[in-house]
Formats: sequence, C-alpha cells, structure tokens
Amino acid sequence: MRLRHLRGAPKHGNIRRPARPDDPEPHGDKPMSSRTLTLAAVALLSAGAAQAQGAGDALYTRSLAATCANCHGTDGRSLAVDSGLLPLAGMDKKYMLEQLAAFRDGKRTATVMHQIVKGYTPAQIEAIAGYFAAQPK
Amino acid sequence: MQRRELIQGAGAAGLLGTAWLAGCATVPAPSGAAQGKVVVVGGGWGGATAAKYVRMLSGGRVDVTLVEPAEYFISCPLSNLVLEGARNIDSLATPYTGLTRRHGVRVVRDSVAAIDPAKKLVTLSGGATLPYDKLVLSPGVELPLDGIEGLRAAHDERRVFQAWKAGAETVALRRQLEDMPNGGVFAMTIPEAPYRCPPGPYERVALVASYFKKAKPKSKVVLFDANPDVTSKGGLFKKAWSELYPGLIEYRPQHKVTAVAGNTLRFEVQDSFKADVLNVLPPQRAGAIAVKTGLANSNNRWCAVNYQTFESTAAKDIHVIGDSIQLAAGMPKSGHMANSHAKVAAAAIVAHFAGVAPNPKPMLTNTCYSFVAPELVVHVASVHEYVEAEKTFKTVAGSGGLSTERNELEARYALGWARNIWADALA
Repeated sequence: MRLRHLRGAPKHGNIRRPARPDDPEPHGDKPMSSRTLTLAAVALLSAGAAQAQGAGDALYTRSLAATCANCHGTDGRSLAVDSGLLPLAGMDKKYMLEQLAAFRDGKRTATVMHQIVKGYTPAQIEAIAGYFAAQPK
Repeated sequence: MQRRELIQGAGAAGLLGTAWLAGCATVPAPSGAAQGKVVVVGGGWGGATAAKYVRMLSGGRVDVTLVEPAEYFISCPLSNLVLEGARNIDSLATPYTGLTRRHGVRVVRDSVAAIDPAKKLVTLSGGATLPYDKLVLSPGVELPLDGIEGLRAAHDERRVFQAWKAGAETVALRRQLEDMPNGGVFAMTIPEAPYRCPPGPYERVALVASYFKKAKPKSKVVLFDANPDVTSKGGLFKKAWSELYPGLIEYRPQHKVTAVAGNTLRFEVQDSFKADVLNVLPPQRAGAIAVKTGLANSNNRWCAVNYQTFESTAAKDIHVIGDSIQLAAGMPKSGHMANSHAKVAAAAIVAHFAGVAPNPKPMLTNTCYSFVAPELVVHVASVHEYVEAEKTFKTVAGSGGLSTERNELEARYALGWARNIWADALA
C-alpha cells in the first residue's frame, strides 16, 4: 500500500474517504467505544485505500494499453483496417496472447510487431490482452 | 472559404491569425463538480493527445482547455509527400472540432503571451487569462532564424523556407521546386542533433529526388549535414538514394552552415555553395513560450522533466511534453513520441486529481515510418520503459529495430498509422 494513496483523498468521484472521529455513526443508537471506533476507522481506511489502489491499477492498465493506440486506434478501435492495422478492441484474449507470442518467437512474420512485443514483460502483455478483450468492438 | 485556401493563404502572416475564442458558444460550461482544471498549451501531436486523454482517463471529471492558434492540426509526418507531389497539404489537416464534440475539450483559438507559474495563470495574446491547477505545455520546437547570418532576411523575403512545421511553407517550398528549371540544384541543410524528426531530412531529399527523377531529371539534390553521418536509418537511406536515384543525391556530412547570402550557403569550414532552391534548418530549441517561462533549464535549450510524470523540474504543476523536452537516451523528437509522452502526462495528472500515485512504470513506444519513394517505406521502432532506480526512460533491451529493407507493405502501414494516430490525438 502506498501512503500517497491516503494523503490525497479526492473530494469527488466514487472513492470513499477515510472515516474521521466526528463522522456520524454508521449504525445503531448507542455511541461506540473508542476501540470499536478505531477498528471501524481502520476498516474504512483500508476499504478506501483498496478502492484507490483499484482505481490506480485500472488507470495504469489503461495507460499501458494506450501505448498500442498510436497504430491500432484509441482503445483498439482501428480506423485503418483496410491498411492492415487490425482492431484490438474485443479481440479474444487467448487469441491475442497466442499471436503476440508467435510474433515474439518469430513464428508469425511481421514488419514491426516482433520488435514492439519484445519491449513488454509477460505480465504487461497479459494485462494488455485482458484490457482489449474487455473493450466493445 | 475552402480549407485549401485557408492553409495556403496563411502565408506570410503565419498560421496565427487574429485572436478569437473558438467554440465558446458550443462548449458545455465547465461543471462545478470538476476535480480540477487543466490548460493545455499547443495543439500538436503532444498537446492534442494530452487534452483528449485527460478527458478520457478522468471520465470527464477534469476540465480541459486547449489553447492553439491554428484552426487545423497539420501533420508533419507525410508532409514530405507534398514536396514530392504525391499528396495534397489538405489531406494532412484535421480540425480541432472533434476534441470539443467528442471529448468536451474547450478549444481556445489564440496563442499564449505569458505563463505565471507562481499564480498558475496563463495570459493569452488576446488579453484573456486562464487559471489552471495543472498546465500541459507542448509548444514544439523553435527554429531560431537569427543563429544563421542572413537567414531571417531570406525567410522574410520568402526566398528561403524551413517547411519543417508543415503548412504554408510546405506548399511554398513545393512551388519553388516546381518553378526550378530542369538542371537546377536543390540544397538542404541539417542542424546538429537533437532536432525535430531525425530521419525527416533524409526522407525529404529522397522524395525531392523522386520528383526530380520524373519531372526534371537533369536536376540535383545536395544535402549538407552538420552531423558526422546520417542520424537515423543511415544504411537504409543511403541504399535507397543510390539505388532509386543514382547520381541525383549528393550527401555531404560535417557541414555546418553559418550564413545565407543570396542563393549561396556559407559554411564554417568548407567552400561556399550556390543552389537554385535552398532549404535551411537552423539549430533548434524548445518552443519560445517554454524558454520565456524559464523552463528550458537544460543548456538554456530544452526543458528538463521528471520522466515519470513529465512535470517540469523548474516549475511545479507544469508538465512539458513533446519536442521541447530534454530527451532521455534513445528518445527521438517525433510526433509518435510526443503522443506517447502525452498519455503518460495525462495519466499522471488524472492520478493526481484522483488522489492515487502516478504509474510506477510508464511505457513509451515509437514507430517512425519514412518514405524513400511514394510507395516504398522504411521504419525504426523502439519501446521505452521508465526505470525507477535511474529516474529515466531506457529502451527495453532486445526490443525495437529497423526494417530489413524498403518495402511496399510498410507504405500501406505508414498511411494507416497516420490515420490512426491523427484520430488518437484529435478524434
């Protein structure tokens, strides 16, 4: 967990801010003990941090996939299919992983993709393929 | 007025025109719930992409205003095909309206007079001011005409063009080549690296030779390079020059221009050279507004940035992208690279407003296609990773490379690449 995530809790958006001691009680009539309060605060804090982390990871994955957009179109929606630049949006994940592996291993010939694919780690390629598979065509 | 007339008529006045606010009536008012306010200065490959991606990656939660004096984006890549005669300048133009219509970017048609990093305020040439939480500065390169004696006068008299920022000058240079007699000489000069688009001059002489071969075969191209050798795709270019245009192109490295006198080029060391048409590229530096704002802190020429976010090392909350930055090793000054910078900066800005850390490992790609003939292309490609331990980008070992030889398939890909990357920035 990065502390930075906790420092800059946003004012808007759907990321929950950490609980503060003067927050209204989440439930029940009776005041909670300070220990209960602390636990609740920790739980909320963790939930908020986890959501922030989730938002960060989604942003990082989208940024990673955006490095393909220059040639294959924003979010993989190519406008130049007739030029041989395939759309990646909605491409089956397994198929894309196989093709990228084939480019990397020289089993599928290419002009440039065999050079580009070698710049990414297997984990990055997995994330990219997952991202495009989830995009509407 | 037709787009063609607009572009060609921009001529001596430049593409700046008078200041007016474009699209204000049609842009939705900035919503009160916005997480932050971003101003993007410069609507080229970097700026346009940054404006779009801040909107996209924030789900529209960050307000974006793009300041750009021109009505149309005009692509430098493919513009050498205009000099060849294979393409019209109109085909390289894209309006900024897509950014507004599709992404809610407010486009202000003006140039920037001043930036106050302390007050976080941009003052436009028209007098209006724009406050910002984050500024993206993408002013491209400046081509200082005063560094070479006589160049400013030759340029002002419309005798010598740079045609390095595509547009009216591209059209003007094409006209000079058309007017040149069969048997005439076209001379081009390249400044010391780094300069915008390393392979661009070598592509340009190939395509001018392609035109000469068809239309005026007794003519000649002489390329004077301040660098010790061809700076990009050297083997591929030299092979194409000698095989496609035998006897037409003469390459002279280590020639540094010091003066332009009439139609004569003077060099630091070698004998002067007279030609019918001159195309002189002066040594370049970061866009004027970046220098004026005090951001060109690397050798008083380029803007140093924190590569993880592209935030200036000289001013907080100003992100400098594209050709103005001090390059990391192996990074070219190219449109594709500026588009890549823009996405990293946009994601860092969106992360900042969302309260999450910037991407710990941003990535950049570069694919650069060069036409050696209208139907034959060569490329160089690279992938760059941010290395936290060294706080810089490095090319990933084993990645990237060149075309094995010039080929027609990549000419098809190059045109497709252009359509997709123009849309990635502007649609």
